[in-house]
Parts: sequence; structure tokens; C-alpha cells
Amino acid sequence: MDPGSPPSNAPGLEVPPARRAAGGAPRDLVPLVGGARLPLAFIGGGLLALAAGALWLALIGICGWPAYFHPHLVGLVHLWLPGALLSICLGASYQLMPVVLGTPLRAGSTLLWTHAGLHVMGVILLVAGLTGGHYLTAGGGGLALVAGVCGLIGVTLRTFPRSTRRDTAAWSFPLSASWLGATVLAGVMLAVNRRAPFLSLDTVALLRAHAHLGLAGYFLTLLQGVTFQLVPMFTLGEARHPRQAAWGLAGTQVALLLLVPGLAWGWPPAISGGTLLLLLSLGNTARAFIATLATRRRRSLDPGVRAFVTGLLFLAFAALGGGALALGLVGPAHRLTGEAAYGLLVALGGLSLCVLGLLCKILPFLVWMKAYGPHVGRRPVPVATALASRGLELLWWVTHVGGTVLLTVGVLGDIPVPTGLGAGLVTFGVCAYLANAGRVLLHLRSHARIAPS
Amino acid sequence: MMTRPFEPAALPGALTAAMTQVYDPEFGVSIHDLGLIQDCSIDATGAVRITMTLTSRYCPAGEVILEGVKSAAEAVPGVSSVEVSLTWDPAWTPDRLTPAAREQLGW
Repeated sequence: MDPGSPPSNAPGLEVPPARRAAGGAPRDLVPLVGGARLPLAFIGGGLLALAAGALWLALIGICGWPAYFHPHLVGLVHLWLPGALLSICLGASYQLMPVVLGTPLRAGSTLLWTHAGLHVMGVILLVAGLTGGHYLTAGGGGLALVAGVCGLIGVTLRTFPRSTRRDTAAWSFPLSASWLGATVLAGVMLAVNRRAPFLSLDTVALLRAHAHLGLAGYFLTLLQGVTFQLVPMFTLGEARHPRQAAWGLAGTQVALLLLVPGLAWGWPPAISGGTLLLLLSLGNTARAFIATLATRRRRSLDPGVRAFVTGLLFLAFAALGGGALALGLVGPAHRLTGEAAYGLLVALGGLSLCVLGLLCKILPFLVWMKAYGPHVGRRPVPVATALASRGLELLWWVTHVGGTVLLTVGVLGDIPVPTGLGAGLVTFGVCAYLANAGRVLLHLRSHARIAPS
Repeated sequence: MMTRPFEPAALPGALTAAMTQVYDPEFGVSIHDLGLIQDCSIDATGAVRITMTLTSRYCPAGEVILEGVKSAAEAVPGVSSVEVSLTWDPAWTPDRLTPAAREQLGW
């Protein structure tokens, strides 16, 4: 073993059997990370947070939608974003990163499981602290998240140099991990500042900067890269216009360097410049995505991919709305509701549909690999897509989209009926989604029953 | 217990049949219909050498598919050993899809 090699018991690092069978394949095939247990643990935690978040959303929708910086809404947003969507993204990323980079993760299992533990503890403390206004607790949760994210950054920065791949998909991992680090660190500073003020900046302005670090820095950066790996993989297509995809990703990074300080310090030229650059970057990514989707050999889109495409449309609408807010095109009378509607379009519409849509494809695949992968060629096994219910996936997609539209309209117009109805529909859709995920996860019992041949 | 006699002439057909039982987990199309098998040879001792590719260098199911091909070939009566090798030259293109696969994918 060369001195730089990781320990042989680390997940995803053993010489895979296929390589041995191939007698020297041109490239190592990357096995499941930690036997898929680690990605599934992150995803399972994310689904539990999603269930709790959906119930909370219904309750808030029925009781009356508060201002977007109300502690209950801030708590719900943190349960939904770092609790549900980030957990799912982390689980998927730990499995996807070695696949995209074509090299096993440079990490021991202890480090990866420590990240999982710190993440769960951090989210619980963060949500409890923010909801109850206990900023010391929230700060403690934030610190746990920071420690976990440091692990992710370390793994990414050790794995990335080992890869020769340097396209948009590959770059999105170190870039998004770095923005995530900045997001959680800024969150801790915000919590500490609420408890013992030391920053002479407006709290709401700091919240906006923190939110954009996470939403655009982490989630958007990751999506702008992995889309060009996952969509061709799920549709039997080819990534097209790589230069435009790269400009899209690079533009977002530069835009954030302008937008985030501009939002925090209230400097309009930086906000306007960052916003326009972000819109331009999204346009580049959209053009590359449309060309990529057009190459698909599987003509009919699965519900998961449809949800992903719908999520991108929501993000496009949100970007236009955000642009109008940032450029001062929305009057003061509508600004507060406009900002709340913008947040809903980004988080509940765009990111949730994109992340949960991709999970419709990733979860059955991971479960299939664990439950049936060892039996391929030895006995008949179902295909991965057969593990999920297409009907439940379609039901989730329709109700989530309808609910988000109603909720956004209700919040924008400050009308209780569509707000309550929309929140209820989203919750109903999430129930359908979770029922489908449970159905997929039940196949793991097959793995427990049948020992590998 | 009856032992089947070794029939080299029957092997390519039996191997093809075995390859139609190994599916790409995402598309539900057999690796034979996807056109992933590039070469298959057998010597007089029943030793099989299969050269295959994947639809993408970054296929996350690659390991499972290669192992599945090996297991399926080993189960064919008369086969004494199987060696599966992975190649990217020539790279897979959609032109390799069989008409059955095209129909299944909705072309």
C-alpha cells in the first residue's frame, strides 16, 4: 500500500470485485460507500425531518402564516432546509462524489459516521433553539453542524485532487462544500450576535446574506454541477454545452462574492451586480440543461425527473422575483410578502422539488444495490425503478406543485384560505412521498432475509 | 445425478440467453439489448472471455453489472471459467441499442 493510501477498512476503498474480475480495468469501479449504510442513514434522517416539517407546515398554514423572521417560521425553515434537504443532499453526495470523481472517498468510516452524528445533533439543537428563542442552544447546534461540515470539506478536499475529472459536475463538490462551511459559520455568528450583539449590522440583512449563502452557495452550486451527471444517467442522455454549464457554475460563484457582502452591508451596487450576474449564470445553466435533456433516449420522463424539471422552473420564477426585489422593482407595501413568497418559491418549490425529485431516483437505486445487487446474474431480481410506486410519486408531484402555488399566492396576497389549503396540500403530498419512500426501504428486508450467494 | 455433455457449439446461444437475464437496474433493459457486450469467446476447455463496456464511465452500478455478467455466464452448463474485462474503446453509443431496447425506451 502506498503511504498516501487510506486504511483498507475504510468504506468504498477496497479493490472492487469487478476490477479483480476484469483483470485490470482502465478505471476503478467505485463500490457503495459504507455498503450504502451511511448514505441511507443521512437520507433516512432527512426523511424523518421532512415528515416533522410537513406536519409543522400544515399547523402554521392553518393557524396563520407569520412574518418570515418569526421564530416558529425560522425553526421550520431550519428543519426543512438543513434538517431535511441538506441531510438528503449529504447522503446522496457521499455516494455520488466518488462516482463523479471516479475515485474512492479519502476518508475513514469513523469520520463519516461522526459527521452523521454531529449533523443530527446539530439540527435538533438548532431547530429547538431557534424556535424557542434560545440562541445559545441554537449556536451550540450550529457549532455541531460546523464541525460536521469541516469533516465534509476535509473529505472533499482530500478526494478531489485524486481525480482527473475537472468538469462542472466535479467542481460542484468542493465549491458547494466550501459555501456550506461559510453558511453554517455565518449562522453561528448570527446566533451569537442575537445573544450577545457584537456586529453593528442589521439582523434581517444578515439573515438575508446567510440564507443566500446556503440556498445559492450550497444548494444551487451543487445542482448546477450534479445535474449534468444525474440527468444524463437517469434519462440515458449526454451532457451538452459543457462550456455554458461551466460559465453557469463560475458565474454563480462570482455573483455570490458580490451578493452576500452586498446583502449583509446593504450596498446596492453589489446587490444589483450580484443579482444580474446570478440571473445570467442561471440562464447559461438553463441552456445547457435544456440541450442535455433533449439528448435523452428514454423519451418519457419519470415522475422524479419531472419533479426535478418542475423544481428548476420554480427556481427560474424565484430568480426573476428575487431579481425584482433586489433591484428595487417591488414597492415597500408588498416587499415583506414578496420576500416571503420568494423564499417559498426557492425552498418549497425549487429546491424541494429538485432534491426530492432526484431522491425518487437515488433512493430506489441505493436500496436496489444493497438488497439485490449481490444477486444479479444468480437469480431473478427486480429492476430499481420497480421498487417505487409511480402512482405515489405522481400524487406527490401534483400535490406538492399545487400546494406550493396556492401557498405562495396566499402568502403573497395575505389571504388565509389558499395559505391553509396550500400548506395542507404540501403536507398531503409529503405523506404520499414518505409512503413511497417507506415502500422502497422495505426492500432492505429482502437483503436481510437473503444472504448473498 | 445427470451431467450435461459439453457442447461448444451451443454455448454462444446459451451465453446470449444468459446475458439477456442481466438488466441495467435503472432502465430495465438487458445488457445484451443495451449493446454492452463487445466480444465473447470460448475455448475448447469451456473458458469464456467476455469483453464489455458500460453506458458511462461513471456508471454507479458498473461493479454490480460486471459481477452479474460473470455469475450469469458461470451458470451456463459447460462453462468452466469466466473472465470479464471492461473496455472503453470503442465507447458505448446509442447506436448499439437493439430495436427491442429502442422500443422499450420509447423511441
